[in-house]
Amino acid sequence: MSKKSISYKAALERIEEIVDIIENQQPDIDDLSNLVKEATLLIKDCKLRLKTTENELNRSLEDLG
Amino acid sequence: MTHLSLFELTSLIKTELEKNLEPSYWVIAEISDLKVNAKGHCYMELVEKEGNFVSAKIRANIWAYTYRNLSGWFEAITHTTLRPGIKILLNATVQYHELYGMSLNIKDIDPNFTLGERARKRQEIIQRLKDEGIFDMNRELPLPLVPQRIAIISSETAAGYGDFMSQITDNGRHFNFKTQLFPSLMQGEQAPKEIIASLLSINNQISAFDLVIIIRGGGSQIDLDCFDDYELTSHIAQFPIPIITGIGHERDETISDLVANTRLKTPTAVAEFLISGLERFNERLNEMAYRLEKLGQQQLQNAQYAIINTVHELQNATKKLVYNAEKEIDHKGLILKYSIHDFFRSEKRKVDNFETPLHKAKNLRLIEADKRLTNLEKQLGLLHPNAVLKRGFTMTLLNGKMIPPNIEFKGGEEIETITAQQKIVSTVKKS
Repeated sequence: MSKKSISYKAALERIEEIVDIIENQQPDIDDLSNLVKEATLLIKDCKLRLKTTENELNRSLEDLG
Repeated sequence: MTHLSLFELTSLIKTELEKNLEPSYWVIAEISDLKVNAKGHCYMELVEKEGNFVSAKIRANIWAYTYRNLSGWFEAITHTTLRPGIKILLNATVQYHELYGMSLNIKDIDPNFTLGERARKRQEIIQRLKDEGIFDMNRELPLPLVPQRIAIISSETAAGYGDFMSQITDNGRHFNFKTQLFPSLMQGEQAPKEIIASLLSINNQISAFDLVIIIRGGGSQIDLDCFDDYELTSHIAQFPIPIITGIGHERDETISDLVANTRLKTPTAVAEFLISGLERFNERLNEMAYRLEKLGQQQLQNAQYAIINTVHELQNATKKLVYNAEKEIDHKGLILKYSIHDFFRSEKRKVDNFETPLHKAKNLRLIEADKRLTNLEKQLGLLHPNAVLKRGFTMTLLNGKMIPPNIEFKGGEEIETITAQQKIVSTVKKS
């Protein structure tokens, strides 16, 4: 996993894009599952970063392997 | 040659001055130096400048009792202290002392003049920043979406800094802020220089910060003039990342406030602003998560419905196909039945049509044949050997067969002679 996380702005834009895709473009179920997974990961990542310092974040990411 | 003693001369000067000058004058002057001694008397040096050139200079004093009243009143109106660098409109008596020379004794100061003077100066600086095209530079920077790395310019000991830090650390939401203090004097003549120095050192590690906040404790409402300083405001305006001010004052904004990206009244307000920014982002994430969940469920349900629908459609289509096929088979069967029926009927009719003449023809032929047969029988009856035998003829057979016409008997052959009633066997003797 790369240590440099995606910026909040980029993350939010991607999440909003995904919501828009799901809302308006009727993706098929395979895509839907991947899109939701991606957006959920982004949201989790953002929330984690809101509450931990960069160092802590990097450490916990390293723990993940 | 007549002469005066020095004292006589200075006394003369003093008398002449007192004789010719008004009891007091209103004078505009800039304070270039100011000291208050232990007894509370105020001693200043007043100057008039044209650029950097000092064109006039005089000492002045305000006696302790007057000074207390005047300075309090002055601060209340202008929110600034009497100090070097400001221009005042003062009412003074010219006094001459034989020993101490010329000076002014200040009786009154008009704070409104200083207020107007400062407004004019402020306006000049604002205009200059605008003319240089930098006034809006920091204001136009977009605020980062989630500012978490904060450079703080403040005084370590300031109450406002403590308030800010406790609020930002204990924000109730466990939001993380990474702060770094760049300590600076926050009031007085040295403040602009120190704040600029802090800005420069922040600029040296600019990528480590999302924004800069300049905060100063509440309390004293005076001595904010340092935030109107041209050099400082010019640095703030041109700073590459957004600056938020929380200088803690109620009166008109300083120029620093005007050129800063965001101006807030107090350090506490700055902390709230930052926390609420993160809260908004967090809520947006929550909303997105909620919408994703709803949408995902909905899409799944839609897909399920679609599958169910397809199954139904498939079932219906199959049923319909089978039904149609059955119907067609029935129909064809019926047609076949009818056509077979028709066929047989028409064939039967044909047969019927043939039957009568055939029957007649057959009967006719039968009768004819019968007649012929009867005739033949009769003829055959006549021809039959028995009929001949009955009439007295006999028939001779050799070995049970008619005797061929040209046979030559050798004698000894046995022949049979058949009459109507009996069979006579005889042997040939000679032919």
